[in-house]
Amino acid sequence: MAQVVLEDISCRYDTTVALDRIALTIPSGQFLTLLGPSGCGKSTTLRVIAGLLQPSGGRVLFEGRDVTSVGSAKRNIGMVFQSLALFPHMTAAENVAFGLKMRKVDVAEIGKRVRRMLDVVRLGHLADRYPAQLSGGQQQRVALARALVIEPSILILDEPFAALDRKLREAMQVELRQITQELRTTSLFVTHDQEEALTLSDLVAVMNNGRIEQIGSPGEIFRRPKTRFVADFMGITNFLDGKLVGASATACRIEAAGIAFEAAPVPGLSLGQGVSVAIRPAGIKVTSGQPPGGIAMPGCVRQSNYHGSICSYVVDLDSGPTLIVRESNDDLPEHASARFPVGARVWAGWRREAVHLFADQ
Amino acid sequence: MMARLYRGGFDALAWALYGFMLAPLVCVVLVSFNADAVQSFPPRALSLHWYWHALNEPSFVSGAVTSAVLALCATALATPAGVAAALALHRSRWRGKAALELLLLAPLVVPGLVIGIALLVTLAGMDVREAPLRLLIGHVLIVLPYVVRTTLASLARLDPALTEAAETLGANRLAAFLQVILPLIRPGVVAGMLFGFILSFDDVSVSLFLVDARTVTLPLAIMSYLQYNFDPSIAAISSMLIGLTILVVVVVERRLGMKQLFTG
Repeated sequence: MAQVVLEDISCRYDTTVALDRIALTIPSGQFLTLLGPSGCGKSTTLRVIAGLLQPSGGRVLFEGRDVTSVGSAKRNIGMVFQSLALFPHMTAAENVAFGLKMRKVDVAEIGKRVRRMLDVVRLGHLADRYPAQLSGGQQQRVALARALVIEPSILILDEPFAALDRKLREAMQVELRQITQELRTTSLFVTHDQEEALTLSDLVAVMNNGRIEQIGSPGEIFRRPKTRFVADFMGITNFLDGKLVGASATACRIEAAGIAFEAAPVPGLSLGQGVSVAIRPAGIKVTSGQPPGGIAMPGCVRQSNYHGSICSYVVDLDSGPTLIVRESNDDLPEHASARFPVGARVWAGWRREAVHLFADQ
Repeated sequence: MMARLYRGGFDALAWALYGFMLAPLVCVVLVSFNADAVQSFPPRALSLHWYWHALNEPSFVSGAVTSAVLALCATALATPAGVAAALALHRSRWRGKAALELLLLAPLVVPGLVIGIALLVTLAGMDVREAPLRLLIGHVLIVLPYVVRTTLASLARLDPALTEAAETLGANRLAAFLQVILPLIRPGVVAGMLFGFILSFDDVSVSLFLVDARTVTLPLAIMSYLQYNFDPSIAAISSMLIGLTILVVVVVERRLGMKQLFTG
């Protein structure tokens, strides 16, 4: 349970830069998720922390101690691999015991700790099964137990749930969260699934092109994305090109898609500057008439999709851009699958809080 | 109807091939029980006389001992070297990898005769004149490619994260290999050793150039015996070799599962 710090970590292969001066602190006992698309550097970061990859520059600190040149065998880390990498010729109990055996813990103690850890992951009754005789979820739990039994300074998980079906994955997420909170393990999780990141983490670091774009609590990342990339990755799919036309202490005025509207003030923008206006799909309300007050634009429904608890519409605005709107189906009559048919004339409106502004690069 | 005909035809062809491959072996075994002084087929009277004769032929006995010791030593030397080479080839990403792999497998493709002559010339040049040492070097070359080949095939089937998993759990390179990798590739290594052992035991063309008057391998002893005698003791010694091979295969099949070795 240690604090893990990355200082100015860089990684270069030949000419490509995989990591560009990354700085990151994982507070002791916290669960941090590296989130990003494939190739963003999240797996490279993980391998640097695990000691499986030597960075070209920078330092890795575990609880203040420089471990940059320490091999992974000596770092006291627990790692759950994407493929799990369970040892197929060893039983669940032998897999879990491996790390303790390597640490030369005495046999009676190993037996006790293995049994206790298998109980924590609720696999006590399957200790003598081989990995091939276990289900996907059970294998996950063996891998987790094997990583945790050595009481690692940090638990590292490399997209371990990617191969599971949705239901099992959600169950495993809940279980992982519960176990890591119970044991107060410093954890680093890597995923490209934003929902998974938001569900599991105390902190989320969004990565792109070998850099960390933003780091913060799940709520911060979701509600206050700092860059257009983060907003996009968090599922804000509507972007309008606009211009800043007015600013005051309490609001700024934007011109986009043919109308002018207000948004929360953003420091550092200058008048006349081009901005991206991002609007959350769930923040837009579709109505048949012009709503009183607020911001609204007329348009035409091009597509309506039923997703069960929610509905999504694609609305072509008369002024040009297209918006994606998502709304709850709670008020929908029982037999209807959409409030508006394709081709309907509608108004798309939003509250000022639904808007995020990003300066154009 | 057509499908059944095809199927029947296929089965017949398969059996014909089995017959073609096994008939000579069956003949040899039958001839070995012949009571006559010449090799004739089918035998007219049965006896174990020629087995007794073969076991009392000094050149066969010393040849068998030489071949067995040689094959064992060659396998014992080639196996660790072959496994190490396969590990290095499996891990490396450099450009010469394919060329090196080809080089290690070359003794499989290059005619034994050529290897034999090449070794004879080279070893003479290096002033290595002791037949046992020359044979050992030659036979290590026979065994090595099989071990490399089958070990590489086993390694290719392993999850590359296994070594890393062992290392993150605190194992050093050696422990990771001995406790995780080796148990998993053992069937492949054993298959390579077995092939290598049998081919070393059985080799004529490489050994032909490396033996001397005092050190002769069993296949060469059989050949030179054959030059002056044509009695069924040859068939008897051959039958014993067939029996021995079957025994080895059955034991390995029981202990490891032969099918798994070859089909993965």
